[in-house]
This record gives sequence, C-alpha cells and structure tokens, in this order.
Amino acid sequence: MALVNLGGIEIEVDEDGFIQDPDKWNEAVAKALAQTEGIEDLTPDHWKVINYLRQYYLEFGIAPMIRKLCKETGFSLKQIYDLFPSGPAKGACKIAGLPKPTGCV
Amino acid sequence: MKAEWQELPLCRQLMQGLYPSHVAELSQTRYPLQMYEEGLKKGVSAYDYGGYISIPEIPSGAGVRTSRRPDILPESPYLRVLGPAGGWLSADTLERLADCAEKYGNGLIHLANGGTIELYAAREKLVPLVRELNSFGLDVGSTGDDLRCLTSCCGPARCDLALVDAPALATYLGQRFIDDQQYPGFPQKCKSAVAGCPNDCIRAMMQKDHSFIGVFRDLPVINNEEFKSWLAEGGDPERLVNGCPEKALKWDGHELFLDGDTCVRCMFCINNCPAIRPGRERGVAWVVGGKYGHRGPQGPMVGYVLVPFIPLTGEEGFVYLGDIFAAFLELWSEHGRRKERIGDFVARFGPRRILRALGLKAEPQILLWPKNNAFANKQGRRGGEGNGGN
Repeated sequence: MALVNLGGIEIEVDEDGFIQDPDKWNEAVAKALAQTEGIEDLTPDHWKVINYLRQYYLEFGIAPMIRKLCKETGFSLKQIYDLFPSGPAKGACKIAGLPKPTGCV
Repeated sequence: MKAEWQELPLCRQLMQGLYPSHVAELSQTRYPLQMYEEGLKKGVSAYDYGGYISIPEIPSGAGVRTSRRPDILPESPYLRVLGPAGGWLSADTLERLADCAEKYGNGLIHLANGGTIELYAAREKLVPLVRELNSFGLDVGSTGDDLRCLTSCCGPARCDLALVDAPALATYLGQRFIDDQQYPGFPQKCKSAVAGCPNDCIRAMMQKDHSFIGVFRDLPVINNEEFKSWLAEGGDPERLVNGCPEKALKWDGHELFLDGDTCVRCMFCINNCPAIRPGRERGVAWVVGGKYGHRGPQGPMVGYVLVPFIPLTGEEGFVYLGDIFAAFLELWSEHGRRKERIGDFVARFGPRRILRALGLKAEPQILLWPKNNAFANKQGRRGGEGNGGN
C-alpha cells in the first residue's frame, strides 16, 4: 500500500493503483486517476460510464457485470475499451474509485 | 562451458532415451529449465497460479503464470494466437511464427489443445509481437471471460465421413464473433467447436461449452454391390451385425438390411464397413454445456443437445447458425451468474426455458443425442475388449 496525492488529497492505493477508501473519491480524484491511466481528458462519454459504475457500486456494493454496463450506458464493449484502454475493470472501475474487481478481467 | 541442462540432474534424466523428450525441446530455447528442475526436486511446481494482465491495445490482455521462485523467473506472460480452423498451419506460417518466438519470446511455441498457439514473451514485447503477428494475418485473443478460439475437425478437407464443412463453419463463426474473442465480456469463458460428424474426433460434445456437430437425419445408405466386394475381401458380417449397439442390422447370408426405426445413426457400421455411407439429409446438432472442469456445482458434464437437427444449406445456413449462437450467448450473458460456465447455466436455467427464450420449438426430431454409447465400436461388447474402431 502506498499513499499518493490524487487531486490534492492524500489517498491510499494498492499495488495496481486502485484507491482503498471509496468514500474519498471525488471528481478531482477521478481526473487524477485518469491521468495515471493515460487518459488526458475525461469527456462526457467517460463520465457517463464513470457515473453509472459509481451509482451501481453505491447501491449494490459491487461492480456491475460488463454486459450490464454496456446495456445501461449504451456503449459497445469495443467503445468502452476505446474510452478506457485498460478495459472496463482495470480502467473504468479504477477511475470511478471502485475497489479492484475480483476475477480475471 | 556446460549447457544449462547438464547442471540439472533431474532434467538431464528426462532427456535420456529414444522417445522424443520435452526437456530436449525446452533446453534448446530460453525457457528457464531451473524452474522445472526446482519443481521436480520439491514435488511442487515452481510456477504459481495463473491469471491475466491487461494491456492497453490488446483488449483480451495476456495470460500470465506467476512464480514461486521470482529469483529465477519473476513471471511468465503468454499470448494466445487464434489458430486457424482444422489446426492447419503452412510451413511458411510456422516459420514466421518461429521467427516471432525467437525475436520477441523465449524461442518456444506451445501448440495448446484449445486450438490456440501460445507464445511466451515479456510484457513489454507483447504489443510489438501482436503487430508482427497481424502483419501476416494472425491475431490474438481467447483469453479471459470471452469466446475462446473456434476449433473444428479437419472436415471434408481431409476426411471422407464429414457430413458438414466443419472448418468452413468454424471460420465463419470465428470471423463473425471476432470481437467476442478479443473483448472479454461474458460471465465465464465459452469454448466452442464444430465437429464434422457424430464420431466427434475433436471431443466437442465432451469438452466444449458450445458445439455444432454434423449429423444426418435419413438412414445410412447400404450399397449391396459394394458390400459383396467387401465380403469377398474378407469383411466379417457377423461382427458388423453384432456390433450394432441397437441391433438394427440384419444379414440373411446374401443381403444386408437396416431397420430404420431402431437405428440411432451412431456411425458404428459406417466406420466399420465402406459399403455403408451416411445419409444425404445433413445438418448439425446443437450441443451446449460440455466441460471437463471440476469447478462449478455440476462438475464435469457432457453437452446437452439443445436441438438435435438443424438443416444446413450453404451460406444462409451458416448465417442462421451464427444468429442462434449470438442469441444464445446474449441469453447466457443476461442470465448467467458470475463465473458460471454454460453447462451449469443450462442445468440451473433449464433447457426448455432456453429453447422458449430463443423462440425454438422443442420437438422430438430424429434422435436425442448423436451417439449414445461410447463403446459402440468395441465389437458391441459394452466395455469389453475389441479391436474395432475408426
């Protein structure tokens, strides 16, 4: 575990850069996390995915299944990979401040 | 200077003898034999659990084996190259693959039994490796919770019994579902194969989550003229008649008769006598849910025949099969639980419900399953000795 400065606050992250305390997440943190993923600018399309993931996580305590994410946001899996090159789990979930998803995504 | 293997007594032992040695192959590459030696010494592999790493630009990522001895080898990432249907590779393609394995990897190529070709390379070499593979028409995928490489038997390209063009259908499905093979988005992996006839030499029904198996609906065709010449060449009619698992064949000393009502199209007589050929009304059986894996509530399963006969005619037939396959994958993605293989999903969800959801009618067509007795070509003695076979 390491403490890093994201969007002006000190946050603990794991070895893959996922933040440990989802409550500390805010838009500035998301922008800073996006930089670590090589995404310079978060477009409205990015935010649509991030906000959906965030909302689902706050409601159910887990990340949604990938197909559900695609269906609800209207993006194809390919478009999600174009938006988040590391993929929905390691890219999008990280930026949305979710803990590291289990499984092999 | 001594070669690495000469310092490793257990590996050296595995290089002796006349039979081709896997260690002899490994020792000619940059594979770290020390890792293998450690495993042999301790009785526990020096490699640890496997997983996947995500790499931007390669959506399906790469597989990775972690290491218990990071001092020898920190990790071993590998890429799966989608193998062409039928498993054929020209010497030219093999040479290019070999060049890739030398240039980017450790010089080793693994012909994996899932139909893919695995190349081992360090993380930073993976993207340039994929670019070079793309340059001569190969691509990667088949990693993670996606549709795995479509495999098939050799089909009519090399087999007289092929009822459908298995490699052509597998290639069609592979091209149509390439995104599903490269962008993991299913609840679990889905292995898929096309077998040309009910002999199912590629074990699709047992091994694959989803398979199309070539079948025929009418009766085997007996050519009595050819049968006579088969007898003249020393063919044994008693063995043929007794070997039929359903006792559907009768031989009166002159002619061979088939009882169409009892025949289950098991292929026994067709495999054992050249005068009996498959019928002409051909199509595929749609089988889902086979798996060897012990994980999941059901353990290993034989595939369930969802539809026993779907006629297959030309390109339109391929498109229809692709459509129902897509609908099935969508249904599984929608209702499947996390990490639930298709076999467990079919058992939980129920085949009738699946057929209803896909808008297919469950009707007793010609047979319940393509082959009902694994011992059918052992001279009819179930589980007994025999020299029959295909």
